[in-house]
Amino acid sequence: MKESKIVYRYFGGLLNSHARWLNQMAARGYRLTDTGRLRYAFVPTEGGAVQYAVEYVGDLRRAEADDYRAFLEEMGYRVWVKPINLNWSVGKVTLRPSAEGGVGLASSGTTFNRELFIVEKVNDGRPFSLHSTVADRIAYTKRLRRPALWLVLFALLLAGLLRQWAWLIVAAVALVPLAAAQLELVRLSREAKTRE
Amino acid sequence: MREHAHSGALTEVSFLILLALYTPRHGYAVMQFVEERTAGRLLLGAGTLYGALSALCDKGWIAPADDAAGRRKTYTVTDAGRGVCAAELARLRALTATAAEIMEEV
Repeated sequence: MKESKIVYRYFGGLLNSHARWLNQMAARGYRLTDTGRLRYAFVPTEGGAVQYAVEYVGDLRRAEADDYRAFLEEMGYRVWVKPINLNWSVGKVTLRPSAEGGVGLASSGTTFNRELFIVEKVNDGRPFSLHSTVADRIAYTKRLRRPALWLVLFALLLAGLLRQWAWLIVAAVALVPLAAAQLELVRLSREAKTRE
Repeated sequence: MREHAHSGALTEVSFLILLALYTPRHGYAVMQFVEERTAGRLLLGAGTLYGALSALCDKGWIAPADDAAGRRKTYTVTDAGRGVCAAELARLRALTATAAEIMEEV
């Protein structure tokens, strides 16, 4: 008999990797029960009983994200809210590359530290994707690209201002989700020329 | 939700959601309607459906409806939405007539 598990993982802005890992855990017979900043608690279940998607909502206002969450729960899904862990604090000020409409400051009424939804669906044999049409996938990928772009620009700016190599490394790491989003957009844009 | 600006054509998803809401339905029932009526060809993602419902509400083509159970948010098509559907049906009929005329005479 398998036992409950607590695992620590960091995915940053790599949402596909995040979802893939959760689905691998589900396939191995572990179902998510709780999650914290880096912590994931699982209980044993039948292998492949559930499926996961990870949704970025950091650009939504708090009320919009709450409304979307309620909608997903009405659909019969379980939803966990999670920080993306890409915010930086300078003294008492916290910068959010993922904020509504670009970089912003943390405040109530925003989705600060609530940038991701982990969505769980009972496996009914159908593929689980929250975004199904080409137009919607393009719109969603653009939303994902924006914070990645801001992160790269910020890290480059700080590297220049502070003359610290560490920020160049941050910029290089942030290029990965940016490049992934850009490649996906190019692929989807080609598809959109002939299909909805 | 995208519309074809020049032709005024609806996307397939918008049209199917409007048709689903000729009977008041909640989100999950709309998703099922679309799957059944397209014989499983079109599986709407919940995020796509949420965005489409919001956009159709903003346009005034659908509106929240009273739900007897009161637990889930239910929507129904408005008069403006019915007008849009009628125009879309006419457009599709003209399009299929053109297609039949050309393809069947070959």
